[in-house]
Amino acid sequence: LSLVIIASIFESTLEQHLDDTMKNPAVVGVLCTDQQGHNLGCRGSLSDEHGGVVSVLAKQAAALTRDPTDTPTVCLESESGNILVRSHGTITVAVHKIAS
Amino acid sequence: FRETSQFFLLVPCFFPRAVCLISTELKSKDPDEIKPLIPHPNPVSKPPNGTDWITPSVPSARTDEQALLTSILTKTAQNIIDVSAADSVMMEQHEYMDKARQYSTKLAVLSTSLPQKKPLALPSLTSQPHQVLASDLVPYSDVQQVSKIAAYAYSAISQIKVDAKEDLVVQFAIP
Repeated sequence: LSLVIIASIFESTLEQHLDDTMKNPAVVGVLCTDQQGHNLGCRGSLSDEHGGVVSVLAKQAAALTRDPTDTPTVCLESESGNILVRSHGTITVAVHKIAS
Repeated sequence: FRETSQFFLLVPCFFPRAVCLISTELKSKDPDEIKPLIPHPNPVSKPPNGTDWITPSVPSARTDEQALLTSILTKTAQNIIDVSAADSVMMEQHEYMDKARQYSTKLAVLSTSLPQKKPLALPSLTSQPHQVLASDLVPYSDVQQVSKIAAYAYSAISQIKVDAKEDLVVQFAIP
């Protein structure tokens, strides 16, 4: 029982962070995945099904440069808004922002 | 083309008691793909009353394993063209030419009648590509914001760890 309790407390830090991100009126979606595209948490317009694409895009973009410290930010631009994808360590985060 | 009569000879060699021939699994595939282009003249291969073969009810003596083996065998027999068959059908020159002509005419008819498969088009993301390309760049503040969000998320996730308190498997003390 003690194991389960500890894990849920730390998980809520991520959940809180995702909620805080959504408080920004321009942000309509946020997604967090691991290196294999598994969903770690999502809100709004981004969900489970986008996990694979998001993680692969970030990985492919990182392959464009030899410098491992030079992390790229992938931007998918459209009329209705932008989706920005960025990796940090072992996770990849995607944020869907609309024009405010 | 295949001489279907030969396949049915293979089956009884292994399972003398086998009676089922074509399984109903064939029905799941597109029937046009698997029926012969030219109907086989040999009546042995045709079902007696013109309908498809159906698998008969499994006799009580047959085990599930044997039924499974039989079905695997018949499925393989369907897909294999046996060129080393013992009693190969000897066809005369004119019969070969006749069959070849039949097939080519049948193919010509089918190729014109079958609808051409269109390659799947990629979905279009926007009807105004010029507008999107000419519009302002993504603001650098947005990029920085996402960078920060990603960093916070990573630190939140790296805090998730298993803190082992006690063994999951314990010895029961029976007094």
